[in-house]
Amino acid sequence: MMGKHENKGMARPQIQSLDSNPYVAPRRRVTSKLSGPALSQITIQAIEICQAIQSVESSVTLIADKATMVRVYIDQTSLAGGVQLRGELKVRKTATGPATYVPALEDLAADPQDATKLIDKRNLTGASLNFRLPTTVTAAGALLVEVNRIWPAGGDDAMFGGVTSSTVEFVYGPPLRIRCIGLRYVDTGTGQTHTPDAVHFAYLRSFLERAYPVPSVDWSQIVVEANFAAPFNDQTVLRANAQIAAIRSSEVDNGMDPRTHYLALVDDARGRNFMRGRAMGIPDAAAPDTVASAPCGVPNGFAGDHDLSYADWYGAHELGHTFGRFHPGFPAGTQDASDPDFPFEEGQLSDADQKFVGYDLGDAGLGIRLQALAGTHHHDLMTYAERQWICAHTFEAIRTRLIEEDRQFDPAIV
Amino acid sequence: MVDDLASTFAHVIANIDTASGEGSIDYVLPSRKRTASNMFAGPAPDKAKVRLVLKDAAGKEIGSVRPELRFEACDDGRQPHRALIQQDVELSDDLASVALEFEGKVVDVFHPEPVPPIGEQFRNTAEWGLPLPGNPDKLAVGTHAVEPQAGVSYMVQAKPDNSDQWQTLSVGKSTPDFVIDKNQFPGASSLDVRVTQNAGFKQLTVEEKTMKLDE
Repeated sequence: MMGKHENKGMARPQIQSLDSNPYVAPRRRVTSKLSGPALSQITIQAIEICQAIQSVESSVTLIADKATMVRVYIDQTSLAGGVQLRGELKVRKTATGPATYVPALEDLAADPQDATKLIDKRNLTGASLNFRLPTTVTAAGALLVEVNRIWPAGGDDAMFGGVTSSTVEFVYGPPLRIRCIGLRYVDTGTGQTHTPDAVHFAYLRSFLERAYPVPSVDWSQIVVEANFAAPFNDQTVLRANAQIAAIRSSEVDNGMDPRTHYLALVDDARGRNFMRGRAMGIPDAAAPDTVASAPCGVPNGFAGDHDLSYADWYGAHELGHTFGRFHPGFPAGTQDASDPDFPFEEGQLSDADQKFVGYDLGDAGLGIRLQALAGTHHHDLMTYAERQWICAHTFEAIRTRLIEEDRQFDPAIV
Repeated sequence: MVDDLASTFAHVIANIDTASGEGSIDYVLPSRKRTASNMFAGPAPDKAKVRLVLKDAAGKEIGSVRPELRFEACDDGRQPHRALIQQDVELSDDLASVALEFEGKVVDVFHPEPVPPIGEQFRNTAEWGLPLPGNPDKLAVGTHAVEPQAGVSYMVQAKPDNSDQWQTLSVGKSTPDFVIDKNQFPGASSLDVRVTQNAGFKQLTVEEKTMKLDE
């Protein structure tokens, strides 16, 4: 991928203010009426069970034991007046099995004047009743999700109809096994030593847990001395990857799980020493020994990123290569189009039909909030485009490769 | 303690630029098992005529491998031409050197010299956990008394008492002097540390000790 201080590769960010982002608009407030109006029957438009990326039909594979949210969309035009709606789900493995009751994360500020179409509601987390499923119900197998209750805050249960239940299947997925190695180097020009900050490890780990098609990340990290120094040149990333490959070989020889992917992080010294990331290979079959290196630092708008680290999506991109993912070819002219099967225009998460929406279920430990990521406004992490997340194509492909890697070593691992 | 770890393979890490023909052998790591997955996966060996040639002491070819070339991704859309080689080579008693060859031309050779034992010298001069001046979290391990020698490298590994996994802290160093950052082992109170000499195609544990981290 391309650095912000080079004139090639990934386009430098066109920083967009948050206010101009139609999906980060201030939330609409509706005056709460504690007793609420008399509710006619509420019509439920759809139930969507989502993880990192999903269609309203829940067509993207659901990974067992991965963080999962249920969205219940209500036709608000059927309401008599503005009201805070609350909800409760009933979920169970079979129609006659024991149920778990799940409360909504927060009230839905419903407004009968709101005629937002379902397709647009999906891009706003505040436009649905949202439920976080407990991990006890997301084991592999079927899950029956039913709307159990809806009621106005302080009022009685309302009648509801429409789509009141959905049955989905959770499938087993192997964990992502990552050994992340920070390479500490000396800048011979300044005499300073540069080490990746803790935040970069934390952001990358969290992003992989949130976006990748895995139930969990088996993560370990360490910082070691780099076998190179700054100023960097075109050979630096090769030396970093050779060092990571050597560390990997010695650790696997000493018992490390051979399915573990190794990734190096190299601090960019506040932009002064940017090492463009590289994966050494895009294997067309399971090859978890494919190594990769990525830069890390504070993004300051790099690729539309305004948080504390770009190690997350950048590292996820390089790791994507190690799982056999090629470039979709976007933005055009900045990236080879080596993935001829990439299905979405402009490298987006979805075509203009907005079939797919990305879901970042957040990370309280890092202050990352729950977000719906509009499919036409965000781009797949294998692109060089802005605002990166994982699309359904990449999600399913990495899931398949993870299973292949898991099986490859099955006989050797008890 | 000097322990000869019976090695079956050598893991050769090299790089080659198929446009310029330049490259090098970066690491040769004896191992007890295969650590690369290219016997299972990856594209068929390319047609770029890259070989790892195994030779005996007389320089006679006793075997060769066409390694999988792992070309770099994210290369500006140009045809990738720089590749990493991560190849396991089976060891034999006759093996004396490994040559990296491109289109019939030798690019680099790993040819280890005979190695005198360093065990006693190491034991007599090595530090084990001496804090660095002004930086008590960083601990010196090893010695500066051992001279670099062609084909010989050193590796330090550590296993904290709250983990079963040996972790490699440094590999491919020409002398056995290391610095261990104890902050890399959160929650541990002691650390098993092992210094290994990769001498040619043999691996020797030079010394292994336990260091207290909470002193």
